[in-house]
This record gives sequence, structure tokens and C-alpha cells, in this order.
Amino acid sequence: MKAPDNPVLVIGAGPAGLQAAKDVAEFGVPVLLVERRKELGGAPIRWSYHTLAPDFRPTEEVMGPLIDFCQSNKNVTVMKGCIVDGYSGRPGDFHVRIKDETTKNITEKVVSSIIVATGFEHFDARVDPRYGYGRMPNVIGINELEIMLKQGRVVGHDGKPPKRVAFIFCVGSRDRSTNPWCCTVCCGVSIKQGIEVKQLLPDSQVYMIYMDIRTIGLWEKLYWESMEKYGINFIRGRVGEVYYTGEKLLVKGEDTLVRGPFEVLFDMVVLAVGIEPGPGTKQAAGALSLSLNEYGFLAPKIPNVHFDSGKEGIFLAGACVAPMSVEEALSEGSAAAMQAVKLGSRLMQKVPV
Amino acid sequence: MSEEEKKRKEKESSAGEEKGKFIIERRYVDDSRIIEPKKLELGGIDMSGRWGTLVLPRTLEDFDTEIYRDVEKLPRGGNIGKCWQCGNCTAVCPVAHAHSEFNPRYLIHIVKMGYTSEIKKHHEAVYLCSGCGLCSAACPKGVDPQGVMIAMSIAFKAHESELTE
Amino acid sequence: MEAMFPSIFYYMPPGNILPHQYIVGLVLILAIFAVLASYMRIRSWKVPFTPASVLSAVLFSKGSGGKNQGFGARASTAGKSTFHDIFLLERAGAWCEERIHTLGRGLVLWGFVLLALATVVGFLIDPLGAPDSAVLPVMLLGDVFQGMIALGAAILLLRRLSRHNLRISTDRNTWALQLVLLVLGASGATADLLSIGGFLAGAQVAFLVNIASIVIFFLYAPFSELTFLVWKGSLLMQETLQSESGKGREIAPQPQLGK
Repeated sequence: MKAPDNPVLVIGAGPAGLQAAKDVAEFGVPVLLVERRKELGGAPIRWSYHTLAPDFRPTEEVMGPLIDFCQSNKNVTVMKGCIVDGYSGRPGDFHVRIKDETTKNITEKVVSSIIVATGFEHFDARVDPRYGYGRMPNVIGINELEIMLKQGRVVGHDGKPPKRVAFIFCVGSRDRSTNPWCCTVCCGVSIKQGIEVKQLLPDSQVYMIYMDIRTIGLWEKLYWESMEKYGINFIRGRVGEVYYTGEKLLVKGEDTLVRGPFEVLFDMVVLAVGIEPGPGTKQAAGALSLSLNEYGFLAPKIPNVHFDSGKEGIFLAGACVAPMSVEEALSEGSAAAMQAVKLGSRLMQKVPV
Repeated sequence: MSEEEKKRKEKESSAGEEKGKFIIERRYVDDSRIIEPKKLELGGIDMSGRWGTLVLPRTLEDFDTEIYRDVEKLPRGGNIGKCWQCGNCTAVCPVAHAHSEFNPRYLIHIVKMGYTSEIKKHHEAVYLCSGCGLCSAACPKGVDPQGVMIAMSIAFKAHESELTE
Repeated sequence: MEAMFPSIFYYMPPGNILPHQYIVGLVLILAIFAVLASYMRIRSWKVPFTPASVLSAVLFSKGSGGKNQGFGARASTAGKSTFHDIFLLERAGAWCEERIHTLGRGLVLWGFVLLALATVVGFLIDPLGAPDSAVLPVMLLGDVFQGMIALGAAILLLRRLSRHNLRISTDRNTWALQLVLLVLGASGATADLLSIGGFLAGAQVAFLVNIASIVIFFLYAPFSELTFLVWKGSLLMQETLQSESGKGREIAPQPQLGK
């Protein structure tokens, strides 16, 4: 059986995909990295994440070396603007059809194994109309605030810095009418952004309107610091509606600790939009005949073992399996790379499992 | 008759007739939110009575953080910002178990958020604190609620004229 | 007397290093300073100086009617309130479910009250040439009372030190105040014991430490929590006096579990 010379196919060049490609290439195994978009780096680069929670590390510091490696290493072949259209064959000898989305040209490649890391999309807050996203000025998502923070300039539509900012948590998460899962990161990311807003605009007042705070693990530090060091206020409750008064945003909600509805004016409302599987994940699942779970994420054979797709030679990594942070996606990429290398070496030595 | 007696008489007479007694689930509505005009004429027709009764919405408006800032500056009040509303203080408070109007967690919350209308209703309760210090021993965040109650009682007294108007 | 006991009590310091008249003068000046500083501090909080309000409420009738009409009635209300809320610790102690905490506070409070009484009695009888048999018990009682203060302060300090979350959130002022109380009580109690035991030098050191801690206490008290206790206590008493029923913001008796 001929296997080791065939490259490992990595679908998606986000944190998980890049890390997987780098690890495989460093083993001396060739990698074919297929990315649907024109740039490498995935969501952190596409949405220009300013810093990463919980330690305010600049995104470039984490993603930069990975991108540089994949662009310059001779073991990595990058195919941008391409998707995987279909496959046949068996482990060590997969024949995949790769389609260029602009030219519609199809090339066929032989690969030894496939790592799927198609990532996620931010929830589109227009789907939940009560927050007025897309209809009212100064109602933005955390992804857009991240871009503003990157530019070092947080302003409303009139160019003025906001005096009072509300973050609304769990937009498009933990809600049967939208997505019933928890996105796991937007608490931490919102609080991180709240701190950055306070650093940028020390006179502003920042309020977090939350259902539960889920700053798991070491991210809890963000939650504590935001209260103790930056004086950010937390309101336990939900927002029913946001009105634009022509000047400010009237947020109507309930403070469940007071058991009372409130109506307060804000200059800016930031929606902590959740994570959902993107069209890329669905497309890849169709092309590779992978099963999706009830939420539309790729379903691993055993829910606790993310990398195992249930099909030999096809491995999963990153936010296409479940919502996760960049730090988790990186280690998942690494784990999937290990599986691919392990499989290649087994096939080469013809050692039974 | 002294001024105080007059006031008491007035109170008694108005307490005699219950406000908005036709309201379903009346006990959920505060007296202060029911407005029953004694005389309400529209186009020469007397509209007072049941159909002229207004119930004000129970909505908290605007966050006025002036008292919060004062509490932060007063002795032992500096840790109020650390509170995350877990309720450990109220759970161990011996006074709160006997006096439902004294709830340290709630007092900290309304001061932190600056709900002036709620502070107006509850500020008197802060003086019930006996200063036993059980809350400070129970607090997981190091808020020192006993100290915060000290700072709060000073701040409420300093703002008494606004809170009792 | 001096032959029998080379040194006794601080109205008769060890080796007579500081005549007692000076100490009386010093304490008086410090007390005046403490009142003035408390006044300034309370006013800086933008609240009324309630001890003065209580005095004026007792002395001058407000004509509010009710139970507290006459001066005598008001004075007795104030007295009762002081006795129950302060001396019987009904406001703080009875609600404090941690018995050891109440004990610490009670020891400090009663230690101070009794020490003040013993000191006054001692100052009065000693210069009058009272016999040793009369002075000695007063002196020894004074030592016991200082020991009470030291023990109470030690309990309060250890309670804080033994709990991590209390320790990290405790104000510097609270540590300082409890430490001063501990030093004050301990040095006062040991000064006489050392001199009876014949350690004159040690007694003099303890005596000087005691005097220094008293000075520090008076200088520091207005900037400690004690000011708040005085302010709030007076506020509550003022309300008691001005209310019609003769009752202020009363805390109902603590309910018993299971009843």
C-alpha cells in the first residue's frame, strides 16, 4: 500500500486547520491546505480580532507564526478560494476533488488522510429582531466592536465615543427560537471587550446584561478583574426590546435581582453574538458524507472524542465540532494532526492496529 | 393639635379607604403607584372613581451612580464594586432572617446599579445592620458587606433629603 | 506604700517617672482632640454630628409630644437605650451568632468601662492618702480590667487572622485599632505585675509602652471605626428620643430556630 508520499488534506485554514497543517508538515509529511476564502487565518483574521481572551494577547502573536509557516514551508501547499467537492477511495489513498470557486475548475488529488477544520460563523443578529441589529444605529455585534478596538477607536455612528455602553449576552445562544447551545466564549470575549472599552474610554460606563456568566476555567480572571479593577456593572436579566429614540438607544429589560423592569438610555448596545456552524461545515459534511448532529455541527463518533469522525482517515478539529475558543481549537488541530501522522506511519509500516 | 398628630390623623383617614380595591391581584401593586384623583372632570363629566384610576408602571429608570461613588469613597465601602450578587451575605445574616426588609445583597445591588427609586424605598433598612460581621466572614469575594453597610448608612444619611422627598 | 511596692498603677508610675498630674492633663487634652477630630471627620462625610444632636434632644424639648415630653422622661429613655444597646450589647452582641466574637467585643467594651471607673477611683483615693489596703485592690482590679481588654482584642485579632477571606478583605484601620487595643491592655496589665515581681526596668518599659499606646489610641480612635460606632449609636438614640413611642429603629428579638 502506497501512503506516506501522499499529502494530508486539511480543509479550513483557521486556528485548528493551520495548527494541524503546521504539525503535520513539521513531521516531514506533505500537507495540502484548502481554504474557501482568499486569506489564511480563519475567523480571528477575517474579523480582525484585536486581542484574545483571557490574557489580552494580540491575535497576530498567536496566528501570525502559523500563517507565516504555512505560507513559506515547502511541505505545505496552500489552495485558496477552493473547496473540497467530493472524495472516493480509502485511507492512505483518498481521491479528492477540489473545486476552485471562481474558475469552477476541478482538480483531483490523492491524499492519505483528511482533517476537517471548517470552523464556525458568528450568529447573524438580524435573525433575532428584538435588539434592532441592522435597523438601528449603534447596535453592533461583538465582532464589529472587535474591529473598532483593533482600530483603537470606539465611536458611535456620529463619530462620538459612547458614554454608556450595554453588552447584551447570549444573543443567538441558549434560546430555543434561535440556537439552543451555549457558545462558551462570548461571556469571556464580551468582558474582555468591556475592559478594553474602559481602558480606551475611562469615563464611559459599561454594563453587562447577562443570564449567567460562564467564564470557565482561567477565564474567570476576566470576570473578577472587570468588577474589581474596572468597575464594570453586571445586570442579571434579559433585554426585551431596544428602541432608537433618534439620539440614544432605549433598552427595555428586566433586572431579575430587583424583580423589576428597567428602561435605560444607552449610547451603544453591543450584542454578544454566538457561534453557529457555517455553510462551509455543511458543505464539507455533504462532500465527505459526514454526519451532523442535531445542531448542525459535525458529529464525532463518540461525543467526547472530537477528532474521531467515525470514518477511518477522516479527522475533525476545531469549532466545526462544537463552539470553542482559539486556545481549544489550536490543541484540537494538533490532536488531529497527530492522528493523521499516526495513520500514515501505520500504513507505511503495514503494522496492524 | 400638633403638626404630627394632624399628619397621623390624615394618614389614618386615608388608610381607611383602600386604594384601587377593584384591581385584580391588588397585593402586587404598591399603594404609591395607584393614582385615584378625587376630582377629575372631562368636558363637564366627573370621571373620578374606578375609571379615572391610574396605575403607574413599575419601571426603573436611569442609573444614578452618585451614591455608589460616595459609598466607594467612604471608610470600608471601597470593596462594594467586587460584589457579584451571590447572596451569601443575606443567607448568613441573622437580622435578615427576622427582618425581610433588611437584605444586604439587595441593598448593595440597588446602590451599585443606582436605582434611586428602589433606594428611596429601602434606605431606612440599612440602619438595622447589627454589625455582627458574619457576612464579611462568609463573602467569597472579599466585599466586606459589614463595612459596606457602614459606608452605606453614612451615604444614605448624607443624601437623606433627596431620598425622603 | 512605695517601700512596699516600688511602683504601682499609672497614677503612681514605676519609679515615679511621670507624675500623675501630667498624665491626667495629657489624657484630658487627648480626649478633647479626639472629640474635635471625630467632629471634623463626621462632618466630612456630609452628615450631622449626631452626638451633639442627642445632647440637644435630651436637654431641649422639641415639643414633639408622645412619651418623651419631659426632660426626665427623655433622659431616662436615653439611659435605657444606652444600657440596653451598648452595655448589654443588645444591638450587636445579641445578634452575633458567633459567640466568640461577642465575647471579644464584650471584653473590650466592659474592660474599658471598668478600667475607666477603677482609674477614676484610684486617682481620687490615692492622693488623699488612702491606706495601701484600699489602693491595692483598686490597682489590681485595674490590671484585671486591662487584661480583659487585651484578651478581647486578642480574640478579635485571632478571629480575623484565622480566616482567609476575612483576612484579605480586612481594612488596615481595623487591624491597627485591634492591635493598639491589644498593646494597650497587655502593657497596662503587665506593668504592675512586673513591678510587684521586682522587675523595675521591665515595669518601666511596659509603663511607657502603655502610655504611648494610650496616646496612640486617643489620636487614632477618631480615624477608626469607633467614630462610626459613636455616630450610628447616637443617630439611633436620637431617633428613639424624637419618636413618639419612645422607641427608635428597634430590632425585634431574634427568633429562635424551630419556633
